[in-house]
Amino acid sequence: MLAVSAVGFLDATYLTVQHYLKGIPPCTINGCEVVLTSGYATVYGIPIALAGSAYYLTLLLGGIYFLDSRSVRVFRWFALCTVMGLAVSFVLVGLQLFVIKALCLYCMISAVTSTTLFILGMAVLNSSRYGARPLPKVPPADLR
Amino acid sequence: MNDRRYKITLWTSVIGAIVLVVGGIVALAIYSERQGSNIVVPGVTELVPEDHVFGSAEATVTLVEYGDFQCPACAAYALVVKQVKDEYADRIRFVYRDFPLTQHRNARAASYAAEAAGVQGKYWEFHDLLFERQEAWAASSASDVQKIHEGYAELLGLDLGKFAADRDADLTRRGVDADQRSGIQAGVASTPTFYLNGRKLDARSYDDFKRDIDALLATP
Repeated sequence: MLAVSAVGFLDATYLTVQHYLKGIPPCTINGCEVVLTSGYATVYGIPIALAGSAYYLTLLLGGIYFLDSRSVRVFRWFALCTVMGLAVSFVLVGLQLFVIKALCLYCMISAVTSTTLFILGMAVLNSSRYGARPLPKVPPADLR
Repeated sequence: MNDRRYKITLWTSVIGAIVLVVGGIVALAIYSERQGSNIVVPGVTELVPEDHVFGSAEATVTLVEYGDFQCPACAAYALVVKQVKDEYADRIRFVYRDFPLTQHRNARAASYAAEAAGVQGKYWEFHDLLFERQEAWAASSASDVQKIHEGYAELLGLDLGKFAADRDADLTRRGVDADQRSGIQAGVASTPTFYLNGRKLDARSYDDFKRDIDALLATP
């Protein structure tokens, strides 16, 4: 999970940096710049890539904190965040497909990492160790 | 105490690593902007009869641009390119080849119109007008674009009937296709892409072009 967050972070940060570096982007064969220069790439002047970068960074730091503290609560919070990440990803991919009608490779990479994180998060939430599933009511054998 | 020291070390290393990584990404992003290459792409500098060549026919220095008339970056470069053309007109050859991209709905129409103007001897004037006034037609509907381009033709004193016929001619279409194929073969992935004597050029400003062209002109 740390690895996937790291990939997402690298991808989103790259996009953010590109956004702030570029004067006028060249027009590419794959049409990437159509997405990145569309109105949907920024919210009130802040590039969405920056928000994505912050999201992945938070997950990354959260993951490291969890490894350090083994706190179940942190893990559950992590898993819930991935739900939000997935929702945002859905919206952005939908915009690309149906509204902007162009795809940006880096944006799609982020969609993949968000989805993967969500799946991993849900899988672990469902597991009894860190998950929300209640432990069995039967006491362990040695206490009976 | 040790635990606290451990935590401080951990988090400092994490923050440090992140700062380094972000720095690396910034460097990578800047580096990937650099287009220049030392590889000579075969065939780029070879002129074909349909090419639009500006400047000295016997020049040993050839600057080729693959452009898309609807591309904002190309329009931005057009001013610099014009400066280069005017300054070096008698010493280099400048060739413009069409590379219309699919995301630009009106790019092909513009290329066809420019070709038509070329038949009547006004290719470069039309080419310049298209870029100078790109915002006026780039986002318009196909029929509006036609009218606007016909307006440019009129401005340049062209025979409008002949202009329309040439614009819609099969030969014109094939000419633009040939330019595009040439670009694909040369490895053009974005517009504008410049080749100086066959080498992909990374030039942002007039000074960049000047420096590279001068260097080539100086070598015997």
